[in-house]
Amino acid sequence: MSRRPSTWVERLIERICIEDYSEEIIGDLYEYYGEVQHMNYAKRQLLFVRHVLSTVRPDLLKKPTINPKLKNFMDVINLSLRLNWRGFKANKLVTILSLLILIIGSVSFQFVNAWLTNEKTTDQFHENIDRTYLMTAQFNPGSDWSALDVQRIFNLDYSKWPEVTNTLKIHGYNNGEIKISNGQTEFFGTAFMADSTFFDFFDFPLNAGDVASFTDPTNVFLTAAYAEKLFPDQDPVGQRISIQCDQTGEYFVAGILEDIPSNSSLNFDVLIPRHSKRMWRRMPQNLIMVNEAFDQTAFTQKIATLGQENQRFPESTLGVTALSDLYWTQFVSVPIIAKYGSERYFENLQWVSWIIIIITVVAFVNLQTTVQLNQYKKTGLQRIIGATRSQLVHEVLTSRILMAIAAIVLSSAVYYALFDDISNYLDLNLDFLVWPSIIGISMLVIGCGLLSFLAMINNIYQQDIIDVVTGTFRIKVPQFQRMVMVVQYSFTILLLSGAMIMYLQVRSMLTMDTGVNQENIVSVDFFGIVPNQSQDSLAALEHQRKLDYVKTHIHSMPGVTAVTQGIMPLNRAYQSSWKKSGDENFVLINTMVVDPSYDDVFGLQVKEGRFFSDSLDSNGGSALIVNEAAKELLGIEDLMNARLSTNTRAANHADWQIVGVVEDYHYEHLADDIEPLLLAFQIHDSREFVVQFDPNHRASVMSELEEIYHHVNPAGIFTYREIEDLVLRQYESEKRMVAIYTLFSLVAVAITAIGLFTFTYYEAQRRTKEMGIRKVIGAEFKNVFWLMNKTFFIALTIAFLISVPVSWFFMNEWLQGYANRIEIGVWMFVAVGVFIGAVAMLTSLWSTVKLSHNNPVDSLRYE
Amino acid sequence: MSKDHLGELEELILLVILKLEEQAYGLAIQKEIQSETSRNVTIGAVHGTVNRLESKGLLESAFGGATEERGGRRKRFLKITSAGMEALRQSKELRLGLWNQIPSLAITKDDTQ
Repeated sequence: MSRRPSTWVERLIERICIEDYSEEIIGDLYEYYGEVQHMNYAKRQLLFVRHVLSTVRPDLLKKPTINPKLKNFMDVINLSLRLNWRGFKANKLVTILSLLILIIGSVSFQFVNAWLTNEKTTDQFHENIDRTYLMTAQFNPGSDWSALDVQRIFNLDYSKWPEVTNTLKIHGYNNGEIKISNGQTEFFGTAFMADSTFFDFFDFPLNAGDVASFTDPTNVFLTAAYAEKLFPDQDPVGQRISIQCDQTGEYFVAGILEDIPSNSSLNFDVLIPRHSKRMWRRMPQNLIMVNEAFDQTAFTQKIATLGQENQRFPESTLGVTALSDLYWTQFVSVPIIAKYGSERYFENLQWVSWIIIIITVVAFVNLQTTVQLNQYKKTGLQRIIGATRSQLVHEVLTSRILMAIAAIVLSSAVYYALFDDISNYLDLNLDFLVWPSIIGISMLVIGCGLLSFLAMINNIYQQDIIDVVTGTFRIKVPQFQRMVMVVQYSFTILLLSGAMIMYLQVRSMLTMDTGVNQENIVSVDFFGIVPNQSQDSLAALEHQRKLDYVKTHIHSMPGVTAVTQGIMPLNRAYQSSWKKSGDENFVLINTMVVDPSYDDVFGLQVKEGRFFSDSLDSNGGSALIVNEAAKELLGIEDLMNARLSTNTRAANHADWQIVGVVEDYHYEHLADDIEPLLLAFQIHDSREFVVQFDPNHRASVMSELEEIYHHVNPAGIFTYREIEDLVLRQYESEKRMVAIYTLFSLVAVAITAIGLFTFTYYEAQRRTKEMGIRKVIGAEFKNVFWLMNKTFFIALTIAFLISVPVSWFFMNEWLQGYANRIEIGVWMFVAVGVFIGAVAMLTSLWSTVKLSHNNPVDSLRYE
Repeated sequence: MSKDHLGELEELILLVILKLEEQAYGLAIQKEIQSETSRNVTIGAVHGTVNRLESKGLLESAFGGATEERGGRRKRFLKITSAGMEALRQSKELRLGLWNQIPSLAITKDDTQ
């Protein structure tokens, strides 16, 4: 045990205490430290620190060297506070505007920064995430990789591989695929059926319960928010719940997990022991944990061909992908991953954050410098009456520190107050974290403060007393300020034109005619999860009764114009391999399953042949409809004689007959061209119903659908999806980008405007006399106005010339990602230029008008 | 005038210094106050007060030898000056005078109990 306190104590006291006393005080403290050794560590340290801190008192502090008139450090602080308060009162407007710039800038920066950090740290809170890999497989060399239950399909024995230290299988059931009941009400939710090794892989913290109890097959874990939903008034632990998906079961709530953090790519409401049932029908994902020495390339080579031993998949390849990469690469799509990141989006926002930083720093430093230069007389006088440069530096330093503290406190408060609204508006899905937020805000504020401090020191050291006394001091405003203004305006124009072009692109995508009806269509899932009929004939009978009920009632509803069973035509195609008989190779073509009323509901145009019909085709039959793109791809000329075959296992033998061709329509994101599409009549009778209705009957249709739903599901909650929402959701990421760019370009406009306002304000003060003289010798308002605003008009023009080509280049790049894109027009940049010019004019107008309307006599008397 | 007036801690410290005779230094004073009055005074408070008393001329000091438990630092032993004694005496008289002007609480009565 050390009998000596740490040396920082010694250093601190030697530095701040009167010399005569420091030796004795340190001696006393050492002696004291030796005497309290018998106490426990925490108490001892606390007592000691208390005694050390007690030596920081006016009686014992050294006299500061800065100013011999001051008694001690307390006086220094008092004096600086007083000086700064005086400075604040003298420059109220500028101080408030500077604070405003810092607040707007740092709060905006922190929103972007928080999101970037959130993305960067995705899943990193799991200690073993870098050792967790997902097993993948590919059936044919040309087909997509997928994350299957490779262990079962290829009969792998993980224990034979020394690299693999642990394994985990998870079946992911998404929202809508599983119902959870608290005994009274059924709720949808997302569920993981996981092995008991789940908590070896993932570190989701528990609020209540013990991870060890997850081995018990009767236990489930809920997240805190979901537990609150299921059991709003009771303690959820120990409650009984029942689940219903492809299996049904009763469980006890054994633990409550903290809500899944926003930087988790895995997301679930309920965690169910996989071993509680003999089998789950959903394909699980295989995760493995590897040891430290794991080499992915070597491992991939080793396992690649292992699957070919299975005779059904002689061409298969096995692989692994790191779970932490999956978020960014989207290498395979798996139900257990709730969200994916986008590197492009990430980079985009990184740019935005840099632009915010630059604009804020430039505006702040510029503003502070303007103020300081306009106070050159004051500092000059201070120098004349004996102030040294270092005293002036000290004055500037304390003012920076005070301003930084004020800005950090205010910005943090503003950030906290706006957090919910802004993160909802930007759809950022973020958790509010106290310390990281304050640190993020402080970084920008302190950076601004530091730079403006350096700029000011530079000015102080360049200032010559003689110049001040003789009045020959030239303020070097123009060049520096003009350059800064150009920088600010360039970035502002860049952001604003970006926002505008993105907005126009999204609007064009939302309003474009896609060839599909996109209004007044809702889909209702009446049956949800259907029991396994081969095992449960009673349930199958019950389902048939419900199906008949829905069918008879839904068709006879007034206001309903068409009904189809199946899916809405957005992003729901799956790919399968097809070839025309006689051709060599299979090609991957998007396929969707539909029923004969699909074309009525969605308004498809039949170009050749016919659409499916109940009288001519049977559900599950081998008739196909193709779109024009597919017809061209397959090279079909004569519909009657064209036969197709597919390589999926069940239908390998079938000869498929094309009965019709529909006009191309957009069924995917408008970023893509219309891809070839096959429609097959294969509708499972538990599929959701899609209803097209007359908008005048909307209310009655919805209430009748709800009635039917409750007849079929007495305990269920009626939900429906509207096609308009699906369309909107398809363009969510673009809309989010537009929202972000719009918000931050307005921030940039605001910050730039504040900067310009102060510039013209001081410029007007500085040139009062000049303008007075000009007016006396005959200058008019327009001359004065032009003289005053010339600087920023020129700056704006240069900025415009610089940023338009840059913006055009970047936005053109961005638009290349969209098959259906708008043309960038000159008018877009003109509009941005006019807007920014108008804002700039308005901000400078106040000072200039005041100045040019001054009575020249008053102006001349000034100074 | 303020030179003659003693604060409560100042008075206590002066008395403790007298009591400790030759062994009066910072930490010893702090410990003595703690054991006599159960008041937990910090080392900084003791030194601050001593510094004030010294600048008022009520105390004088001389360095002693360095010891190992003090990390090789010297002790500074304190001694009361005649002005210090005078201040203490005045303070005592002031109090006694006041006590004696309250018949029911007169100090003599109190002492006999």
